[in-house]
Amino acid sequence: MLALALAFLACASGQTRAAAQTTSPSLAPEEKARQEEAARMEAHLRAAVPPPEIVLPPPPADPKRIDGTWIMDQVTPLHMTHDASGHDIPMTDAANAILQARQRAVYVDHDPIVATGPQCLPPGQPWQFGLLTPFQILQTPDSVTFVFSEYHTVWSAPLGVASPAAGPRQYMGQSAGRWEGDTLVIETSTYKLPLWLEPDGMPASKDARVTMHLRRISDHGPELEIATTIDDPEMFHAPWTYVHTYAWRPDMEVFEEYDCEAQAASAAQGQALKTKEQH
Amino acid sequence: MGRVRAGKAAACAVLSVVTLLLAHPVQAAPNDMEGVWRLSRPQSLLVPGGGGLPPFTKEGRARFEANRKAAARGDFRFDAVRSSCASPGQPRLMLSSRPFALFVRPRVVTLVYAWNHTFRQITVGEPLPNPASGPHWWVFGSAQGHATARWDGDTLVVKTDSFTDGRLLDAFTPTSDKLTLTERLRLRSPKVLEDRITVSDPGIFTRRWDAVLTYARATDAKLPFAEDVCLDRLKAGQPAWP
Repeated sequence: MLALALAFLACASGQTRAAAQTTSPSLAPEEKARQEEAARMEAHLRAAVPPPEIVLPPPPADPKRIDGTWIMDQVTPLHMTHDASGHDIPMTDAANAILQARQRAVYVDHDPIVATGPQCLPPGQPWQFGLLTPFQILQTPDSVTFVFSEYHTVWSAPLGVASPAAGPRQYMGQSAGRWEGDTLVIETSTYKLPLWLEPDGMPASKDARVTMHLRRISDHGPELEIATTIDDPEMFHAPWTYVHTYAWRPDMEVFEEYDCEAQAASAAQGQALKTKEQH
Repeated sequence: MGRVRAGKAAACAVLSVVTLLLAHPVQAAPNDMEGVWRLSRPQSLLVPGGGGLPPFTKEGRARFEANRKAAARGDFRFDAVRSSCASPGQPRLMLSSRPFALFVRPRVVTLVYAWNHTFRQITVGEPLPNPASGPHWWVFGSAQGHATARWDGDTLVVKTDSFTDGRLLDAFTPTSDKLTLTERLRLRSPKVLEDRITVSDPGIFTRRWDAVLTYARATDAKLPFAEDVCLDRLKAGQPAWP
């Protein structure tokens, strides 16, 4: 639930830069409630990510060093409807059906379908990078590792590799990274489960290919820009791209431990006790 | 006779070099610790330097024996790691038979464990003020505890406290929220990492005690580690903590 709350937080601010409007014509009353919730969470957002208390040490001078700690500094919509260029997301009928089932479960049935992250399973890059929680990047000449505070997810990609290995399916997929100029390109495929691309439930299949272009920018202070392209013929008629930006925040580099499995076990025990008492 | 004299001279030369090295050890740079490491000798218990059991209090020994007997019956409810994949925390993660990657950065040393995509962060020196979490975010405790460190030459001296109560130090040894660990991490050689751990937990042990863990630079493992999901193993009826 914390993840869901954070995802709500992430979608709640007004500083959208990439993708867009949040509408769902078939669920207009629910959309209104969702927007009210988003507005309520905006105040929490501003409290949750306060500005630094000190002048932060700068990131490495080399633009090809992305080592350090970053946190999303833009707010993304709860439900993406447009890509980074403002075009409609080219969803297939299959994708629409899954999305609507997931939305209905939350807003109509009030019995959400739980994504992998809140089950303490690695949630895939789109969900993980959409959270308003910091992550640390650890770079070596032959690998890049992302350490996330949420769900204690760790994701590594080998560098200098042309394409993802034909290894077993994994929750975070099989990845391959390479530098194109000052941009790090990481391709990931071979997912173990279908993905949730955002908290409302935009789906991708487990055969999706997710390509991320990471580069340092400095439009609003030191930032990391990640453009993510989803290539998934089962769910989308054509590849499409969205963009998130992340602020350089070395003051958030040590994370409070998120013992997801312990919390889940404790919650399950509590629920079992409650059920027992009710009977 | 001449052969004896030559042998003596050679021995003296070797001795001189050894003496010189001992007096002026070659200093390893902190970054030399980076890499992928694996416990040299798999072990389920943290064993004191002299061998045997830790210096238990009466209560500590009773809880240790109770845990051991429960495990012998196949009852692992005493162990949240085995029963629910909860974080093993410290120092138990340092006993994992699976490799870990160690990253040395100016303010943070990070260990990324192959076990259940888990990591440990150690603050080096004075931390930057974090406006999101506040100055004392760790006071409620965690399995990993609150780790701070300083460099003493080429040795990373790590102090960890603020643990949650009722965890396990290893497979059976109980701990409390009074547990504190002092670790001295150093390269014994380019391919051997040593972690000298001093354990203190007054309700469980009668005195502080030391254990030494060594790790070999892994030649058969590198990043990215194969994805390990403890909950999947548990679901499949496999051990959570292999």
